[in-house]
Order: sequence, then structure tokens, then C-alpha cells
Amino acid sequence: MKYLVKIKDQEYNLHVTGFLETAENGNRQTIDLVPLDANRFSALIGTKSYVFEIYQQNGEKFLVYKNHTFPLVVEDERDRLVSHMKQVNRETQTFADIKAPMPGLVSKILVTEGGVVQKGQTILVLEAMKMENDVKAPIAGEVSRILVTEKQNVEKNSILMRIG
Amino acid sequence: MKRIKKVLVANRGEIAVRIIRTCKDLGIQTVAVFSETDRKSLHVRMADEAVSLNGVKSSETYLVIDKIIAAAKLTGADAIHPGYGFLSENALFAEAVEAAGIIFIGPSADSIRKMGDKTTARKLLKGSKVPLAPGTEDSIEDLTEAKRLAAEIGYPVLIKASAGGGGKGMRIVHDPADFEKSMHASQNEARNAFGDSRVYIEKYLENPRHIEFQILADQHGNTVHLFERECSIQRRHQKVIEEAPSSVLTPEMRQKMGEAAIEVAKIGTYYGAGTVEFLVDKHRNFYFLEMNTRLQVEHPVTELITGLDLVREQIRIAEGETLGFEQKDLKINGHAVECRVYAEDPMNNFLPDTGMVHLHRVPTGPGVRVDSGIVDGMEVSVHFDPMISKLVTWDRDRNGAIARMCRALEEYTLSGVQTTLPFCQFVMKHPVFQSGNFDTHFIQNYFKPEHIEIDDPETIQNLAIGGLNAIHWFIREEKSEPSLSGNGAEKQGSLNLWKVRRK
Repeated sequence: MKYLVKIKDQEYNLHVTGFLETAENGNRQTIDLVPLDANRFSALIGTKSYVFEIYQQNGEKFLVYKNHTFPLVVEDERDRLVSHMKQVNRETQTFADIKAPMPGLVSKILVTEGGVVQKGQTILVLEAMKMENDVKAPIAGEVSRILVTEKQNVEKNSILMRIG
Repeated sequence: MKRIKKVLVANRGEIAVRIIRTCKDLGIQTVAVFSETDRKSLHVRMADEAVSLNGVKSSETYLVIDKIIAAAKLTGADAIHPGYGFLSENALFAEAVEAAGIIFIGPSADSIRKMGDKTTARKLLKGSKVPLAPGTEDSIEDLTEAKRLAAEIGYPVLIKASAGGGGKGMRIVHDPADFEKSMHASQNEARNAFGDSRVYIEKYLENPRHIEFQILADQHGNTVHLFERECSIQRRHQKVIEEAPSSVLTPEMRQKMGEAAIEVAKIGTYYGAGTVEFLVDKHRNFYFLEMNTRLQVEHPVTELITGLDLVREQIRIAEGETLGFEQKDLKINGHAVECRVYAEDPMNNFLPDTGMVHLHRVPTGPGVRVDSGIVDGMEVSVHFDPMISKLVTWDRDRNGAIARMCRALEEYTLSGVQTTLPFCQFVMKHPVFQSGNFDTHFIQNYFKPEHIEIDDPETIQNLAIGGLNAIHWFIREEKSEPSLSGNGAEKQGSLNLWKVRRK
């Protein structure tokens, strides 16, 4: 089966021929892959030894190697078509949902519904672990909805407000 | 002299574990206390006895003096060790412990009052030979008055919490226009962190190094210093990497600063373990910053270069023993480096991360020590400080200790939350850190998230190959159709294998 693997701005066309073989641009690599624990694997690729972890979060895949986390995108032919169409959609998108970067307490809301914000402007202060963290507008636009109130506890990734 | 037989540790996490270890070395019984979310924690498992503090948040548990004293009485503990943070620098707590007929393993309530409050300490030291940076003598609440004083001291100024520590409530102000906002933010943070919103203002030194001296003093007037710790690598004014000795101090400067530190302790009629913090400017002038009247997070680097166990020394001092050694008996042996492992994302402005730690495998081998309170399956929650562990290495010299740290960091496996580990790897390999010539602005001057990425082409390609095959392995084990589009369509049945991270 043929795949496009994207990792750290690199794209690789890989062809998995059997469980332990991967062909990369016509070069055949034998890989010795052993599952360890907690989603970790030991891979011997040629003679090089790698231990890494693979996990999935909110539908996205990540690979952790030497404490570095790499987003990992694996697509087959059909996926590529789907993701291309999504890309086109995204370009016409003019709104942004502001999500909580961490769980915490909304200590201050600095904008009002209907107000216009600039990109990078601080719109909300989120308190977590006794530190105050500024949440900034990722795009310029009008604040169309505010979904939280001051002194409210929020979970990580919960939507705080919408711009646009 | 009263021998301590049972110690209640009024703390959690790695420091509770660390204190319990020394108690066990000394044959002293141990009592842990815990919040409901800490029931499975290592300190609860390791202690001989454990008492629930019935609550979740620190304000309902580790900060409640009455609950802790009740737990000590219930178990018959004859001493309480406060660790760091929580009640460790609370004079009322020290007093309440003594009033209950229990030994407080730490300084007297009087010393905590004098030295633990920064403005009081500055007043006491005025006129002594200890150099002070320009700043307000009293804590200040009135905004107009504060602004006037800031102008008098000269910008840039630093607004700091009187009751503070750990960088909480601290703000640097370069521009008078930002003063008001910064002062409010500082007061808010101080109120939340310490229940005390008082702040004071001092001159902000440029290119400063943060160098602190460890003090040990017995109850009979003997005071020594255990040399310095260099703590200049900080983010948000909080230390992440420390080392001992400092690469910048000459023996003459070390002697001068050590004597000043002893002077501070003597003025505070201090006994126990304490730390005198100094800022050293680019002209190598040093100024008293504050005294911490407790055991510090970074105390292991001092232990490794002196061979002393500071918790054991604290217990001996609390029992009323004399130090048994003098300044001239103390020598620096080798070099130690500490990296704090925080659940924070260095790629994203060091924002705290929370979640379940699936796997925690700590490095070992020559010259490596890990102080940690985390075990597999434990949760890093919003309720407490995000520090997971401290990784400390030692070798005969600085280069050796750094090399061992690089090796140990690579060996360290932690899965489930983002950590400062890759950031620490970046620092250890950075030529400026290796040269020893850096200041507290190291992170803002030299660190960009993209610097910590791995970009060796062969490694990246092999990770792509390995990653793809690992995903194939999951699919094969599932015996399901490959559905690799990462669009949130994980099948219910694949959850076990994927162990999708819960957030």
C-alpha cells in the first residue's frame, strides 16, 4: 500500500510491502519493529536503533522521539483528496474559535460581543496554576460570541469565544 | 537533647518523598498527609502512616494549619517538616506547631517573620555590610505613591510580592505607562498565590545573574555557608536549571558573598537551613535579593558538591545538636547541575500542561540522581505546581556534569504530558550555557521554540518509516480496515490499542 507520510515539513512517499518492509523511492528498507509498552515501539532500521511513542489526540497523530513531539500525518491516496478539499475550504474561512490553551479560570474578559479586535490583541486572561496567561486574538475581526464569563472554570480546548 | 522519633511531612510530591527518604535513613517514623487527588501518590505509599486532609485544593488541604496539626496529634508525630512552598515560610504555622508541643523542622517563627518578609529583611539589613539594591523599604499599596517611588528609583523597576517567592506576582516595568497595569497584575497574583496582596518596588538590574548561598546554622550560634548555587536560567522568573558551583565566582568573590550570607543569617538570628539570594550585575557587584527561610527546590546540587544531606542536617539542628563542623572543613567537590522537569510546553511559551502520565522511566547510571514524586498512571492536575521531578547530575568538573546531563535527559522517558525536557536538552548543548557566560535573560535572548527541534534528515526519514509501520501494527492488531485519515474518526474498538490521550 502506498502512503504519503508528513513529518516535520518533510514528505515521504512510502510503500509498505509487508509488515516489516518499507520501500522508499525504490529503495527497500527492512525494519524490525517491536511494540514495547504504553504505545512505544523499538525500531531497528538498517542498524540504527530508535525508540519512539505514537499517540493520537483529537484525531491527530503524534510521534514522540527523545522527548520531542512530532505531528505525524499519514495519508493514502483517498485521504489526500479529502484533505485537499478541506484545504480549499479553510482558505475561505474568516472566523476563529478561541480555545482555552489549558484548563483554568477565566480571570478577565477584555472584549465585548460586537467589539472589533486586532490580530495579537489580548482578549482574555486565563489563570492557571496561579499564573495569569494572556489569550490573544489569532485573527482580526469582530467578536461575534463570548461563551464564558469571568470567574468561570474552563477545560482545556473548550471554546471561549468566536471572532468573525 | 530531644531525639525526633516521628516526622509528619506537611507537603506533597517530590519533596515529601525526598524528606521521607532521609527519615528512613535515620530510622525515624514518617507520616504523610494528602489531598483527595493525592491518595495514590508516592509519598502516601512510602510513609509509615498517612492522614487524609479531606479536600482537593491546596487551600482546603496542605495550607490548613489546623488540619495538619490535628494529623500530627492523631499520629503522635513529634516533629513537622514543612518542605518548600505551602506553609514552609508561614510564621503562624511555625508558631502553631511549637504551641502544640511539636518540633518545627525549620527556623523560629521570629526568624521567618524577620527574614521571610522581604521588606522587613531589607529594613533589618540596612546599615549592615550586606549590599542592598535600591528599592522601597515598605510594601506599598497606593498607586500614585508607588509610581512616584518607581520614578525615583529609576526605570526599569521590578514590582514584587512581599510575601512572595517562586516568581509569582513579579513584574518588570520598563515604561512608566505600563506601571498601573503591572502593579494590578502583581497584586492579583500575589493575593491568589499567597493570600497577601502587598507588593514592593526595587531597581531592576540589567544582565543580572541569580546566585544564592546555602546557609546552615545550629541553635548555638554556629553558622556556615555551603557555597553557592547559580540559578540564572529562568522562565517567568522561575528557575528551571541550577548548578553548583557558579562558573562566574572567583574564590575571593565567593568568600565575600559567603560572609555576607552568614551576616544575613546572623542578623536574622537564624537557625536551620536557609538560602540567601543575591543578584550579581555585569560589573560583578552583588546585591542582597531575599532570604528563603526553608529548604530550596534546588538543594540537591549543594548536597552533591558537599556530600551533606541537608534534610538530615535540618533534623539534627531541630533536635538541638551542634553543626559539628566549621567553614574551613567545607570544600567544593566537583560540579552538579539540576534540570527541573515541568509539565509545560516549551514550544508554546511554557504553558502548563495537564494530563495522565502514562509512563515515567527515569535515567540512572554514573552521577545521576532523580528526585520525583510521580509514578506511572498519575495525574498532573491544575490544583498544584506542575513540577514533575528534578534531574541532577554530578561529575568532577562542569563539562563532565553537563555531558552526563545530556545523556540523562536523552534517557528520560515521560509520556502523557509535554515537558521541559527538550528545552533542558537545548540549554545543555548551547555554547553560551556551556561557556558559563550567561545571565537571567538567557531564555529570551537565545531560545526560540524551533531551536529545540530535531532536524537530522536521516533521523526524520527513519521516524517517518518507523511511524508508518507502527500505525500499520495498530491496524493489523485491530484486524480492521486501514482508516488512517486523522479526522477524529477513531473507532470505539481501537481505543484500547491507541490509548487515546484523555485531556
